[in-house]
Amino acid sequence: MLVCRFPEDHRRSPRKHADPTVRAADKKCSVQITFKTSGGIAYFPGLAAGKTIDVDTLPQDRQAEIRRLLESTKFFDLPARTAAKPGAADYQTYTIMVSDRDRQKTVAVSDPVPPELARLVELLRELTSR
Amino acid sequence: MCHTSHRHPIFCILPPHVLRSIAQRGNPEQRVMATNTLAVDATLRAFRASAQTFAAAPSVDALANPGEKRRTIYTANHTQQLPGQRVRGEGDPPSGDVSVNEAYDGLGDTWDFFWNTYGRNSIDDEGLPLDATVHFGQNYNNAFWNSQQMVFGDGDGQIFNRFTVSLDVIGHELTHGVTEDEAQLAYLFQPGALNESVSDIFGSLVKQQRRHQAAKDADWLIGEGLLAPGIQGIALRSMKEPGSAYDDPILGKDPQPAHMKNFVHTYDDNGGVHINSGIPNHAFYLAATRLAGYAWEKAGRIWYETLRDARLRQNSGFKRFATLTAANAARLFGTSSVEHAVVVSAWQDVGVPVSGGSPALTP
Repeated sequence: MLVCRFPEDHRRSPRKHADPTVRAADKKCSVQITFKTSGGIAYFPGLAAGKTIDVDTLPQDRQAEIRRLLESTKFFDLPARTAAKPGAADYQTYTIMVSDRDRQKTVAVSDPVPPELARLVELLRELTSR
Repeated sequence: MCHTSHRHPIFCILPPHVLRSIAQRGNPEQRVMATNTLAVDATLRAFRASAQTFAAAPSVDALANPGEKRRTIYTANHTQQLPGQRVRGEGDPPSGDVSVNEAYDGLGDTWDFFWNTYGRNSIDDEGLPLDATVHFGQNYNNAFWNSQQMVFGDGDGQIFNRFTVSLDVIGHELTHGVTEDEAQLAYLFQPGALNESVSDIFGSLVKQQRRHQAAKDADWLIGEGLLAPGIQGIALRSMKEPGSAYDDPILGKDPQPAHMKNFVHTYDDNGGVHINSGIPNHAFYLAATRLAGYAWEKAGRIWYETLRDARLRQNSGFKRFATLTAANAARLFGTSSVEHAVVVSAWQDVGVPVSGGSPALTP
């Protein structure tokens, strides 16, 4: 069965060189991301709720970047949690839930975000701010 | 998890695979709720980690002379690389960058406060050099202590201004290092709220000393000037009136309680560490204003000695901390002193009963 163009699907895809954004319009490839920030120097109730992005509804360049980042970070294979260092304080923790039709993965990372995930967190922060 | 004020208790009883299924197929609101519940796991994991050995303290430079501060300010140049590029060292002239200078001066004021008031030589009392990085990340809305140094974002200019703008925030971050060196209060639930409160208290005292303010003249705000124009609020927190710092369409309303009857049970924010800190913060405010004069002289001294007290544990809650402040007030000023009575009454007025006058606390 052909679904979204994520790492494992890659090998099975007959169109493996296709532009990853091409299939984005296909409902079967719907990717949703929920992003939640917690912690930080203060607790703000208004900023605490997570927000969900339907990736398919984003502008093409954003869709392409998100799909590239999910692949390059091997998101579905990441550890569920990268803990903050003992003794650290006021750091923010970012909870990222990504799901397509077949899979779902939740990853939590804290400041300072590992370099390989910094761009993804930055982009999700930008896309979910207000 | 089910005795919290969670609005959707069904998520407490669902096994993780069902939660994941909801997360996968649910509507956006259901997904957010499921994410919140799954995020609880982060707090519980942090709790388990905190029971393990703490990282070794940073190495001490044996060449440090007592009473000599050594500051280094770095810039991350809007990346998240730490510590970044060195831009100002101890004794260097001011930079053209206001954040660099605010960080340099703020570290200096904080170092001076601990040295001049309590004879403490830097974070570890052994002359640890002080490092800070400014311009961290893009539009980064936070400041934090990473267990080795301070890190400041520029803010997005829409909700927050640059995080070096408030001297008490700089003092707050540095005090996290002091707490890590002394009591190592776990960053969770009541010990975490005490950890936060200690940072707010000494952060505020750094500012009060810098301004030569007596307790009655201080604003007792944390993070004044940090909220961008247009945001309906005056600061991040108020020790004088917890819960009154902001009420804004974007930020929501300041959730801090001032009394145990309004204690917030939550797994968010590491178990409400920035929420319930309002209670011990207000106890300190009451003690300091009732004792009059400069807050760092009596109340501050009592709280500082409590932080250094071996009977304060990593997992101590409000009651033990309160009892220890009373014990230290008695030790410093006498069991029948005004200071001891004021400390006991301050805790009682925020709903934390202090057992006895002489503590039956085992080391």
